[in-house]
Amino acid sequence: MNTLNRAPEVLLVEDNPTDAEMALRAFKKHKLANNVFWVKDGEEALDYLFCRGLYADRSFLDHPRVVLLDLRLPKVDGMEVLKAIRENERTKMLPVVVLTSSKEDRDVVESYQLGANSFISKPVEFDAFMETVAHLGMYWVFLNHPPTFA
Amino acid sequence: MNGTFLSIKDALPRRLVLIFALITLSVVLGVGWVLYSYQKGLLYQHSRSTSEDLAYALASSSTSWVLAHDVVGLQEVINSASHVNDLVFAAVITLDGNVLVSTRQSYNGKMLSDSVSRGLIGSAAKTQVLMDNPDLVDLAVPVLAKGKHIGWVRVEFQRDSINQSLRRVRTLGLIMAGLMCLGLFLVGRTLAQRLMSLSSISTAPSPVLERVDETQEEHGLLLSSLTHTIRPWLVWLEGIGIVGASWLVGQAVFLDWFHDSVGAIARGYWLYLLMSLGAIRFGYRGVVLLILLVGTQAYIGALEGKGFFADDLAKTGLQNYAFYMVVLFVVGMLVATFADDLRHKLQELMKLRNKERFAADLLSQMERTAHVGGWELDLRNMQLAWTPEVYRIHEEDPSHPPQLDKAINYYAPESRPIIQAAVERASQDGTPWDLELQLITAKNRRIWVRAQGKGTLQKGKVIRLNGAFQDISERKLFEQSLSRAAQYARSLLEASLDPMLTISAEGLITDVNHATEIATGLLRQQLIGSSFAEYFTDAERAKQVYREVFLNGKVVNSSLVLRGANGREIDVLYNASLYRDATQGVVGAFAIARDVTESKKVLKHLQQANADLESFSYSISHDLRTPLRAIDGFSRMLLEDYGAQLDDEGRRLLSVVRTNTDRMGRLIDDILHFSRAGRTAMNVNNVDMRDLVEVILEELQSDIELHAVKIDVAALPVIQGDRSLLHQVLTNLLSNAIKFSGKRAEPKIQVGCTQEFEQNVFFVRDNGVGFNMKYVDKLFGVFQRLHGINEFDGTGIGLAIAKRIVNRHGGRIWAEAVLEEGATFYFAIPKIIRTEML
Repeated sequence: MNTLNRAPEVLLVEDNPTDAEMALRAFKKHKLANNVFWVKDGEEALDYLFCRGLYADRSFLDHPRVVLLDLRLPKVDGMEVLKAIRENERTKMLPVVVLTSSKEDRDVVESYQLGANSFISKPVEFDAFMETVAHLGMYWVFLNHPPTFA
Repeated sequence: MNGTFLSIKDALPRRLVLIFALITLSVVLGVGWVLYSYQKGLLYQHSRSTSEDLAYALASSSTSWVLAHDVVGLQEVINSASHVNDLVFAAVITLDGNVLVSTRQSYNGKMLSDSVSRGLIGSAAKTQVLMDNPDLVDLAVPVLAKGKHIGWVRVEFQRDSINQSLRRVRTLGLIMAGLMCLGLFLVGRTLAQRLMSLSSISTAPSPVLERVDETQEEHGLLLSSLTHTIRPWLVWLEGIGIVGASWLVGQAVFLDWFHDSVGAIARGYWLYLLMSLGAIRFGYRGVVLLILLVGTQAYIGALEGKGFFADDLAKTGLQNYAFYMVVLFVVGMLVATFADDLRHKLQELMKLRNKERFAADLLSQMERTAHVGGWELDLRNMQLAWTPEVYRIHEEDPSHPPQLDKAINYYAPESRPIIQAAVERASQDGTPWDLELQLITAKNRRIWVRAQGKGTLQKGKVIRLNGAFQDISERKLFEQSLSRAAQYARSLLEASLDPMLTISAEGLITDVNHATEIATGLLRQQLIGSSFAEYFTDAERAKQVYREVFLNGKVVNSSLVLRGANGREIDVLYNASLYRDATQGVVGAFAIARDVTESKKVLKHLQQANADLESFSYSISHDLRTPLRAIDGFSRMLLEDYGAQLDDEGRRLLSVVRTNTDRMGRLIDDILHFSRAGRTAMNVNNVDMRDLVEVILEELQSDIELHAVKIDVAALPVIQGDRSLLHQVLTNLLSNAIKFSGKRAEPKIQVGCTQEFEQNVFFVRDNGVGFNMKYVDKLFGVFQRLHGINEFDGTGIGLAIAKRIVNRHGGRIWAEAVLEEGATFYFAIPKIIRTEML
């Protein structure tokens, strides 16, 4: 799941293990599984990104290329995580894709207002889900050119 | 009233008349004496003797003494004269002494050569007295024929019998003078009485209303002035009577019996009377005409010795007659002037009387119409008088004159002491009264009357009470019904639980109901007159609202917060409109403040419930979907990873799991759609429906092509609405139409719109399977399906969502269908969208 020699390129913030497993299966299918780091709640996500707590020895320089963020999370929810990312000088330009079960307009609007780069609703249907996640990975890992962090 | 005018009686007291008569009498006697002396002087001029008068007296004492004009006449004269007692001798002698005829037959045809005939020749037309025997009166009277002296009549009397004749003549003269005097007095009196009766119309007691009093007063003044003008004429009339009488008396008393006191003078005075009548009847013209007639007669008489006046002329001479006619003319003119004036005044008086009669008629009509009568009580003799209407009000016969105590007893027992006190007080000092009392009529009917009265003072004493009397039962009844109506209206206001009040244009409270007292915790008297705005938390806004009422005529559902009792704040919806008086003038504003505190509470609950529902549907969207995806995902993963180890049945079972998870996912989506259709804020804009339909058809293109549906879209209007919500409605209806007509050989869909007064009605018609109208009520229910799931796909939420959206636009959705022939779905959207949705 994680490698020591190479920093993960996707940070998956997902509390639901089945969703996470399906997402990872999709990444694996496209040989991206090694580049994915999975955290189970908002706090862990922030610890990881801000290199604190368990991840205190991480370097800010090893930032992921994209954060896939679920909105409904234990402890610190997705919106707060997004807000914290955008408020921090070091992470404010980090691409964040909201990946959630919600199709609520207000979630969409709020996410974009807080600076989300994309909003993806998780399809219920398995094939569509797999395809969506695969596309996401391909796009953000291979196609998208991220900003350079200080 | 108040004795403003005088009657003739008042104007000419009896004492004054007597004094006046005495003065006139003495003056007339004096004048008579002078005239007599003058006449006597005239007589002396040609006869130097009063014996001539005696001849005249003799002439009139005979049965038919007329001076004849020819011999035959003279003979008759002599013949008739021969029957006169005490006549000694009478004869007619020509100028040359021939005896034509005589009482002594022996003289006839002989020539008289005595001194008489001789002495007379050459002194024509002069009556001469021959004094040759002291016991006899020997008289020579000239005979005139056609104005020419042709001879003499010689008469001899016994002197004593002449004296007797004279006495008879005097008595007769006195009697005739008395009769003429009486006649003149009677004429004068009658005229005076007539005048008095005319003027007395207004002096008769007539108890009438004050305003009528004024009219009468006016008339009275006129009458008074009239009687003032007439009075001198009346005096004149009476004076003339007295003068005439005195003249006659004077003539009879002072004139020597030789003067023609009876014959010519009597004729002369009858002519005065004739002249007076002519003057009265025909005026100046009458006088002139009479004078002309008399003059002609006199002239002819003088020339020809003929006519009515010929014998007078023969005796008195033409110059006397001229004088007589001048007097006659003057008298005639005076009488004419007087008569003319009197006639004029009388006409005026009659006019006045007609006017008064008209006024009286008018009054009587007024009385009857207004049910107002008048009454008068003369305190000096306690005589009570009523006008006809007062009788009518009492339902009493006008032939029963009212008595004071009886009149008082008509009042109902409770009213009696009140009227009694008022009458007594007015009798003391004239204090007026105006009372509304109850009366029991003669027919035992209880009515309401208005009794007014006042006293009239004379020399500080009340002499008369009078006033008006009115039947006000109808008004009272009306007042009672009015007060009942007012009571009813008031009760309605007071029964209201909403505070109601009226506001003046200045923003002051003019009236409140009980609910206002409860709401503000203040008493009515504290509220009335205070400023309306001060009872609201936002006084400025309250002021603005009441100004708006006076500006626009009304205010509808304006939200204000009333500062209630104990500092409680009450949310109110303020409604107000202007109210006007009968002439459409604005009196004030009528306002109702509806307490909506409860509604607001309910609203809050509703909002809370809505918020709960929102979070619930949010949970559904998130929480239900996740396990569903897991079921689907993991069954797929099972199939992918271990499919080879499963047989066909195992794989079929797994696919059933997946089909159902898929269906459940759609149900969840539909629930969210439905909830969202009711919750999302409406964004009302102009929506081009034609454009919208085309966009949707493009979205549904694949389905349309799949079923080869022919779609006909008519011209559609631009309407007000939420585009995305209307998009949803049309999408649902169109996809339904495609779905249900898709199995037809030639599926056809028609989209159109009919414009109505306040709304646009859109329809989507298909020739699909339709439905049984029996189930039309279920059509728009949530998850209601009229077809088996195997027949047509769908969750049964589409129409429920469409209905919800249409309802939110304030519109209506409905459907018509024939089973197996097609269905038409209609939805009506108002032209103006009211956005006070939750």
